[in-house]
Order: sequence, then C-alpha cells, then structure tokens
Amino acid sequence: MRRKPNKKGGLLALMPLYLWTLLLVVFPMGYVLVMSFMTKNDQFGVDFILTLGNYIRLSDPSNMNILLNSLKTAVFTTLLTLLLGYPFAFAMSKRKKSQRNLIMLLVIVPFWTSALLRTYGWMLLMRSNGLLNNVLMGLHLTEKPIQFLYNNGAVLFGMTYSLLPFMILPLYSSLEKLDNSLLEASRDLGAGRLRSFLTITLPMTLPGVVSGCMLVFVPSVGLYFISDLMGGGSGMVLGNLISYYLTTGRDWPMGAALSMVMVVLTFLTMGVYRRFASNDSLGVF
Amino acid sequence: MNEAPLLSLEHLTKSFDGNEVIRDISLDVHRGEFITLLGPSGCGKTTTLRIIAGLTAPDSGRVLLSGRDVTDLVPNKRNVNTVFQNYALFPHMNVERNIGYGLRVRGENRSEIQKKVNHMLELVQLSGYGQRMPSQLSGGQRQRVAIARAVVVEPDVLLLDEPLGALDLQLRQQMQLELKHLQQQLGITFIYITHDQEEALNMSDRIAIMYEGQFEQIGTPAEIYEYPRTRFAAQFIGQGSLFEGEIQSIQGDTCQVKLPSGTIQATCPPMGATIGERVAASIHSERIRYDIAPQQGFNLPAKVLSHRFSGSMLRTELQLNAGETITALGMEAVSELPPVGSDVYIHWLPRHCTLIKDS
Repeated sequence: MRRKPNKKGGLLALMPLYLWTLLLVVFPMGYVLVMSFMTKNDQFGVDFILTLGNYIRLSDPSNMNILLNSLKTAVFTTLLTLLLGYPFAFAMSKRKKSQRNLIMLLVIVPFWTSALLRTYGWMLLMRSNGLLNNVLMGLHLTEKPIQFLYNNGAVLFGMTYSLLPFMILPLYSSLEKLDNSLLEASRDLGAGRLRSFLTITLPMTLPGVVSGCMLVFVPSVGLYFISDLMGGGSGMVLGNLISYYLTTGRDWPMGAALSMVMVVLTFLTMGVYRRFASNDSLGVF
Repeated sequence: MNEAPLLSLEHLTKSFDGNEVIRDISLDVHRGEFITLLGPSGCGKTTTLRIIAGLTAPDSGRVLLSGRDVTDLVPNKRNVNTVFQNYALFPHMNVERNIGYGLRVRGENRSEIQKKVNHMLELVQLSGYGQRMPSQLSGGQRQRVAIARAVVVEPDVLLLDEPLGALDLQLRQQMQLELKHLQQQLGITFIYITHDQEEALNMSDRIAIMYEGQFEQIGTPAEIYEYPRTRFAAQFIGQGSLFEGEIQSIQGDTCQVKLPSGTIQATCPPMGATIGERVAASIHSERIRYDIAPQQGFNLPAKVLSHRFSGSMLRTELQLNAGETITALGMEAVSELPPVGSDVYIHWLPRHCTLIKDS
C-alpha cells in the first residue's frame, strides 16, 4: 500500500515550483493581459483607462492581413516540415542503431549555433551575389542572378529549415517505438508495403505527427527574425506585428493584445494535441 | 502418405553474422497435419518458421508450397499465416477489425467480412468481445484473437510461434486442448513451435526435435518417446537416464550391454548392431524397477539414496556400483518400498531400453 505523503512537507517541497510559476509565468502573463486592456498614451507610456479598443483593432485590415498571412505561413511550414520530416524520420528509424545515433547527432548539431547566425548564413548563400547565384551563373544556367531572398518563399524556406528538427524528433521517437512485429503481422495477413504503411505505421505514429505539428506550428507564428531578415518587407508574421507595436509603433497595449492572440492560438493547438493524446488507447505515450 | 506434401522444406540453411542458425534442414508436411518443432531456445525453430512465412530469406535451400517454389515470394503473397509469439495484435483496432484485417486486405465485401468475423468470434469463444480493444483483453483472450485473425483467411498452413508461452500453466493446458480441437475442426495444417515437450507430445501428429539448427529426429510422439535416435533426443524428451556402454552379445532383437556398473539388456538399434560397438542406453525413469531380491533377466546392483515425494509420483535416487546416480519414478507408497540405504537390484524390460549408436 502506498503511504499517504506528508501534506505539510509535500507542500513545502512544492513551494519552489509554485513560486517560480508565479514569478515567471503567472505574473508576466497577467501583466500582458492587463496591459492589453489599457489605452495608448500619446507620448510613449500607457494610460490606465480600461478599453476593449485594442481587441477591436485586431480586425483592422492591416492587422488582419498579417495575422492571416502568419497563419498561412504557419500552416505551410507545418505541412512542409511534415512532408520532409516524415520520410526522413522513417528512413532513420530503419537504420542500424549506430547509424541512427549518428543521424540524430546531425539533426541536433544546428542547435549548437544561434538560429540568427544560421539565418545570416543562408542569406549569404542566397543573396544576389551569393554562392548559389554565382554557381548558377558560372554554369550559365541563368543570365541574371535569381532573386531568392526577400519574398514569401524565402520566409517559408527559412521557417522550414529552422523548425524541421522539431518535426523530425517526435516523429522519429514514435516511429522507433513502433513494434516491427505489427508490420510483419500485416504483411503476413496479405497486405503489401504501402497498405501496411497506411493502415499500421501511419495511424500508430499519429501522436508523433500531432506533437511534431504542434512543435512547429506554435513557434512559426512568432519567429519574426526570419521574416525580418529573409523576407524583407514581405511574409510578415504575428511576431513581426508584436515586435512592431512594442518598439517602433510605441503601442504597448496593442502589442499586448496581439500577444494574447498568440497565447490563445497556442492553447488552441495544445487543446487539439491533448484531444489526440487522450484518444490514444495505444499507450504510445 | 502417398499424397504429395503440402509443404516441403529442402536443404534450408541460414546464418546470421557468421553464426549458422539453420544447417541443412529438410521436412515434408502433409495436409491437415499438426507438426511441432520442438527444441531449446536458440535451436533455430523460430528462424525456420520465419523462413516458411517469408519474413526471413534462407541463404540456400527451397520452400515448396503445394509443389510450387515460394522461396523468394514476399510474405503477403503466400497462403501461410502466423500467430506471433507476442500476438502482434494491432493496438489501434478493436477485436473485430483485427480479425477482419486479412479479409479487408483481400477486398472482400463488408457483409461477408462481418459474417466470417462473427463466426470466428464464436469459434474462439469471444462472442460479444468484438468491440473491445486489445489492451482490454486478458492474455488468453489476446491469444484467441491472434489465432482467429490468422485462421479467418483460411491459410494452407498456420504457423504458431510458442503461442502459449506467455500464459500460466492452467490456461496453457486448457488452450492446448482448444487448439488441438480447433485444428481438427478446421482441418488446417499447423506448424507449431514450442520448447515444452509435454505440449508437443500432447498435441502433435509428428514432432521434429531441433537442436543447434538441425533436426535430431522426426517422428510421432510415441516414436520420439519410445525410440530416441540421438543422445540429444533421449535426454530432451521425458525424464530418464543415459548409460554409456559396449555391446557384449546379441540374442534376437535383445542386446546385452556392458556398463561400468554391470550388464543390462536393451532393444537392439533398428539398423543393427555389432558386438563390441560403443552405444548409449536410454531408459525412462518411470520404467526403472528395483527390488531387494534379484529378478529374472538381468540385475544391476544399486543402493537407495533417497525417496522424494513429488505430487503423483515418488522419485527415488539410486546409486550404481560405479558411483553414478539414476532416478526411478514410481507410484507406490513409501512404506511399500525398500528403505533408504538398502541394497537393491535394478531391472527393466529389455524392450523399454533403447540403444543409440555413436554417430
């Protein structure tokens, strides 16, 4: 029989947890929430006049366009990373153990340098007089340099590149856990490779797909330095908008309202994820 | 047995990383037969089964199914199904969908599938469990689902890889009966793997004893039990003793064999024997008799070391002159037997003792 934990001692041991959560999550979030109902001051600060105006302004076409564009970028990024990541993780899970560890290392290595630096690296390669264009022109495949950067495509590329590992890791983890004898049983019962993949592998790794999609979708709404650097003016995401209102725009309440939108978006995706996780009668998690 | 075999294994070999797991095995299996591959773990029986299923490719040799060479055929193109050791039920499908999987793959229509699945559920006594998920079933129930899933597609041969290994003793004995019954009812050929000799003797039409990648002996349970052909077969099946000796004289089919502790009588090996030949004499413990007074025939002097009561049988340890001990199994009460420490004479019927020639 399990002994009842000592209530007083247990609470005491949990105090740091509560304290940090309060200090690092609840307090700043509350601050942002309150801020989002304030009124912008003509100079720099805010006036303590409660208003819903910031939320009403969300529907301004200028805000709405970026919001929708951001969602579009997030969806496309998620789809692209999934399409690239699934075959990769699948192939990886079929390798020998030693090779799998090496590939895993290669997937993780980029995290050892700053994402900002890596984005600059891509810009060096992709700009008009960069390596890529030089090679293409050297091979006479193109007369004039191709404009790779500063468009929606460049933003999508940058996002996909940055977030791909977050898709691969959970996918690989669920693929690796998949019991190979299930696939053998499927083949044994007459199903071909494709059919076995569709009826066994894919549904069994769905929790990995969902968690990978969440890990990519949520940050892709906020990775504003990628759209800043690689997109120039185009391909703005929600993060850009927040950054704009908090700095150049000098409108903290509006920035706070947009931040709340991002928080709600995150909770929504979490909700979808938990739905899948709780439907998970397979014990994959 | 003049009918062409349903399944033939011809000179199969297989190595993994330089280890020979299967060394040149051949076997013919006839339609409707229940044949068991019996051997200790690591003897190559699972690999043999996987080769028949097409899940592992042999290095050399052929697999023939109804006379057709299927050695290079992928598993989904063979009319052979497997009941896996861990059952390998699809955890994201309920019992009905698990059982119907093979039928759906074959593109049968919905009502037909439902009918067959229901029939199967009835057959394995799981009616009413169709909507359960595998995680909601007990070990024995999963076992039945795995069998139903493999049987419903009407395979020519059903392969069963230690299907009762994970069950407790009582359930195992019950399932042995059910499996045998099911096999007779369906008329499907079973190739059954186990390391449990009792299971093999109970259920099989024929047993192939496997050791270190080879078949030691293939025969009916009675043949295997009464006439082991190799030392391994003699030691693996039943409880008994093996004596090393030399043939002294031959009278008809009875051989006199000289052991270090005395002389015994045994049945001569079927391929004949010559005087002076080295042989091993195999006798099952329950056929060893002993008495204070010498008996007719031959007598091996011994001393009673201990009596141990083990359920329905009494185990008696006897020490021979040369120091080796043997076990006799009896059903007498302790009080009827010579007490510990007494000098006795061991004897048995010559036909109960088999001689194995050195190969």
